[in-house]
Amino acid sequence: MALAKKIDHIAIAVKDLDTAVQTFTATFGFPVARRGQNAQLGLRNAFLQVGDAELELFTPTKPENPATKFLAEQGEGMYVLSLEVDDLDQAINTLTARGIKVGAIMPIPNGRLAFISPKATHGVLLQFIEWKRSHGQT
Amino acid sequence: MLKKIHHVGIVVRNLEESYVFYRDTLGLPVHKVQTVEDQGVKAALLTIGNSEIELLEPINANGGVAKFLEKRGEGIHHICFETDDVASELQATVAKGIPVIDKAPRKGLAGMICFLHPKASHGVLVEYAQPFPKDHKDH
Repeated sequence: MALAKKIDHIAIAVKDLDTAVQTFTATFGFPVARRGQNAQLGLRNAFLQVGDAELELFTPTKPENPATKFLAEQGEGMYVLSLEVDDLDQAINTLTARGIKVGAIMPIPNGRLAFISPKATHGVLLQFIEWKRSHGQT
Repeated sequence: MLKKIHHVGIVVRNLEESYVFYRDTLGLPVHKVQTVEDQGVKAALLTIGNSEIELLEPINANGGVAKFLEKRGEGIHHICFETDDVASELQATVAKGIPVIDKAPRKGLAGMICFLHPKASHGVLVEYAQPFPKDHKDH
């Protein structure tokens, strides 16, 4: 049984959110599922539906957001790969037992998530996300 | 129509070393490993849900993947969307004036594929793939 069950979303850092949403919807035909913002993390975002996964376009709204540095140094591009897990605590335990560092659990609406050290993932900023059972059940 | 994420491509220095995390820790099964000479890579596809993670190890120092590794280090390289008809998808993209790398579909690991230019999508390298019939999985 795999620890991660599916790709939940891929986050793409962009400079201007509205322009990016327009580009991605016009180019690929993906519908906008929802828009939001997170004052704590300092970002505004939009989620586009792609099959059973999503693309998150986001733009940082404060310099403390690490994506601000990423945008300045590397330019726009894919930033986070988010994988859905059934049980976040169990997934974190499995990783820490193998000596892999995992960041603090962060609550989000309808779920929880945690970031895994890119040292373990070969340069990928990987995130585990756990949704409450009512979410996305098909 | 682009139906779903077919795979996410991740550039690694060494395929075997990357299996320690992606195959052994995450538990994702490796279902295909192949050397793609014209892309200068040895690639492995690992199943995750109804998508895949593609691990790419450069085998040719002059290839695009080797250059990416040299410049950016290991990390996410591209995203691939699945379509039933890559030729018409590419044609429609070109007709919209969107810059592409491949003018015509070609054979790749994931099926018949083509790449768009990253300036088409805010720095994201996008691939379209129409899987080979034998690779189609029922979900």
